[in-house]
Amino acid sequence: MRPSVFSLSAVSLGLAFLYGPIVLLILYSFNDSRLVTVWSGFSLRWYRALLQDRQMLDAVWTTARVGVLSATLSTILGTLAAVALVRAGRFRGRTGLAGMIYATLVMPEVILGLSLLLLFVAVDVARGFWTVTLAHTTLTLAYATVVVQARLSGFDRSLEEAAQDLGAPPWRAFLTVTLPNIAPAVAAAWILAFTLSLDDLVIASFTSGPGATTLPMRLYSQVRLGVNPEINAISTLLIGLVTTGVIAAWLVQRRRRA
Amino acid sequence: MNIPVTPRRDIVRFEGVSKRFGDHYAVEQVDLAVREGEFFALLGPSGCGKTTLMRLLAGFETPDAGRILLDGQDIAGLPPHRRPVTMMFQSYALFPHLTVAKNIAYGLRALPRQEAAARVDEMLALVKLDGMGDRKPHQLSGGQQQRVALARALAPRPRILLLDEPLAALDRKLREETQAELVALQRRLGLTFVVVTHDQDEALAMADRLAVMQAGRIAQVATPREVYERPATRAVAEFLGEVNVLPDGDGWIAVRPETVVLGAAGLPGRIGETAYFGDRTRYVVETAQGRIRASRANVAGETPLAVGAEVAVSWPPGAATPLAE
Amino acid sequence: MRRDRSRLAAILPGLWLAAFFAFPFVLVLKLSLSDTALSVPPYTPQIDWSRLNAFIAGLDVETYARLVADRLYLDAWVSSLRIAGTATLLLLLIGYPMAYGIARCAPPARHALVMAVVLPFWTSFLIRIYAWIAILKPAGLLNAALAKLGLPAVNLLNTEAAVILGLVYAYLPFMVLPLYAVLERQDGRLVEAARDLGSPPFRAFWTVTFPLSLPGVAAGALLCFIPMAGEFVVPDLLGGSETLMLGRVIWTEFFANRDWPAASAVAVALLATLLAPILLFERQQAKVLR
Repeated sequence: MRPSVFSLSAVSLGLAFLYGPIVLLILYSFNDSRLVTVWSGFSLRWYRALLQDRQMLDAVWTTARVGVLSATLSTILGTLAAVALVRAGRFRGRTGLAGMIYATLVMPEVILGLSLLLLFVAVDVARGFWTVTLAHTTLTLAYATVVVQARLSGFDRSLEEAAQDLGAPPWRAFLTVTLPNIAPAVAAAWILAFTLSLDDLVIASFTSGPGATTLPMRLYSQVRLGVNPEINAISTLLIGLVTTGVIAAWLVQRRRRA
Repeated sequence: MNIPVTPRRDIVRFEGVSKRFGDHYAVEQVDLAVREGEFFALLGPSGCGKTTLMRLLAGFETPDAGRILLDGQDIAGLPPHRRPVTMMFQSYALFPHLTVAKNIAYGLRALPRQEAAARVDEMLALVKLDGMGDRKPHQLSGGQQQRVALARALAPRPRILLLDEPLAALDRKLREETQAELVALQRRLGLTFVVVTHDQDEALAMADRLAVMQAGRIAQVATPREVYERPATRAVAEFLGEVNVLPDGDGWIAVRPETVVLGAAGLPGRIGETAYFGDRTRYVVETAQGRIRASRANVAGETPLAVGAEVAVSWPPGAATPLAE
Repeated sequence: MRRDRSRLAAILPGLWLAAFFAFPFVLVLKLSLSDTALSVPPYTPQIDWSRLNAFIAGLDVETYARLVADRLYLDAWVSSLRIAGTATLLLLLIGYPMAYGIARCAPPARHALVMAVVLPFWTSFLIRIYAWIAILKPAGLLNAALAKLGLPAVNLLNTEAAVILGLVYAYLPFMVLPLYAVLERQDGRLVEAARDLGSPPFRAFWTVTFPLSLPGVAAGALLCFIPMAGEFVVPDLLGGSETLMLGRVIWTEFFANRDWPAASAVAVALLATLLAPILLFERQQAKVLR
């Protein structure tokens, strides 16, 4: 099958649409001028300004902590959920568990954020670092489950049976045979969860409190004030970081498969 | 090496074992004994329950009714990892993330490290894979993977080795070689092998005794010769090779084509079809009793019979087996 | 026996989701039904089970009555559905040819292109929407480019069109991926058979490829429509004060007006609207998994 002119142009136009704005954003982070439309020469002044922005750096640090902690928690819980969904056959509560997981995937963030906030108020917990972490764990748990589930359902069950047949109790068979083989998916689930946490503005805004401002919250309050090359600079750094990470992960996985 | 002829004691007994999946009985009321040190085959078409029977023995399924005795002990409550029974999986189920040596050592956790390493070397030598211990499974050919799977299952010195369609994934030439190797290995080790297969030639060639399964039940248990020459039921007769099933009084008899004599005396008929197979020729003879199949070895200097030739069909008195059902 | 063990794995995530996903909805429902006057902030809805009966007796639909009476909420509801619906349609029109084109490429190129579609999804949503402000604003890049070409300036920022554009841009990967998944799995010989039986290319596509890809169309449409209907960031940054969407109304009621019962009631209304699509999506996912 040869791709037709039509499908080639559809793909290239689509990609241009996806990448155009990002490329412009990166370009203008190196613009000396504060004005978007005026290119007044290459400069790193906005990156220097960033390094002196104490609040921004604090937000980065908070976001990183929330991301690592919630991604780890949700990957553990998500892997457990995936095991139950793929392996346990039909059991009471399966529909409920699967239902909650798929509902989280599409639930508007505003609803998730509001409802979690009401929970934290109801049980009288001070909002801050821990409440955001809990909220992000809930949000990303579903994504982690789906990623691990996909890999687990393609995993040859007889490998685990072979391990048990050779004397390993079920838990050891899981740890020594299943887990090493689904490890790429577990890692992918963690990275996805971390990225989602890094990215979330709405839920963090509802569930955070004083002293726990995340990077998206900080960016949002800046964006509300208008376009600012400093935001372009930090965005460029973020994009660079994530792109490198994703491409590296992809290459590593490809080499392992080959 | 001589095959012991003294009657051997039973190592495994199935007593009234049933296993249901939903409304469907995969295994129904099975009584079966496997003797110590024999090469036993479970033969039957796909879906007949032979794999379920093997998985019941390995511990991956629990029976809904009946008992499974190993050395006289009921093992129904034992999980797979506590049973002295290992299995060679049809897909081999080699752990892709472990080397060949680590795959073989997987079942040797209880052994001290040096002893385990020695056992791994011994097993690699046994399956002629010396020096391949550091490879990963995907770096091996299909035949080599099959041998690793065999070595891994043998390494813990099980009481019984189960083999699930052990040759199904190999190409034809390799299959015949491996068949002979498996039998030689079993004789040498004196270990009880239970092989599950849908391939009648494989079962007939390898097994000391075999059980033919049909729709969840055991249709016949006997030596290969007995099963082939004296099939108990019409289904068994038809599953194993070609057969003429002919009316005989109130019942039916089975006559194998190769025992049919095409000569001057007997039931008159005409050759309806011929098919040349190199070493033999097959005929369909149209007679008053219906179409009878015959198979004759081709002998040098003799021309096979042609379509339309008039012949008389007969068979020696011992060749007809009355069928139950 | 072993099956029962893997069932145990469901306990922790099940409890977690029950506590942090399902139960909070009950609180939203409860607050939306509580007396507005009493619950004006600082509101502290401590759980008091002994007063459950009293609470049920005191159920109050006043907040909902207020919502129905106020045209603003109804308008927001209508425009939420309209905007999300239009964006879903545009996403299908743009996403389908893309997914189709990628599925037609040779495998190595295919993987690289899928990566290219997914990559923007990994970069911050907020940043990607922010990038459009610089393009669309009156003195932005778009108008600068138009001026160079001698064309009149357009004012797109703070319009409904900008919101739809932003939604299409942000959700495109979510539309392309499920479509690609079904198209890639399709047996190419089916189209060849249709061609062989005398169908011209387009008819072969329309009678074979497209009907077989409908599960992907449904998955992509639902995966985009549901969260878009409750979207906050896009209408807030690109829509200006004119564009009303329910997600934004909830945010405003909550953070600006500090009317928690109203925010909860709007959330319940939004959820009720999306319940049918969500259930449809769940059934669809369950089918795909089997």
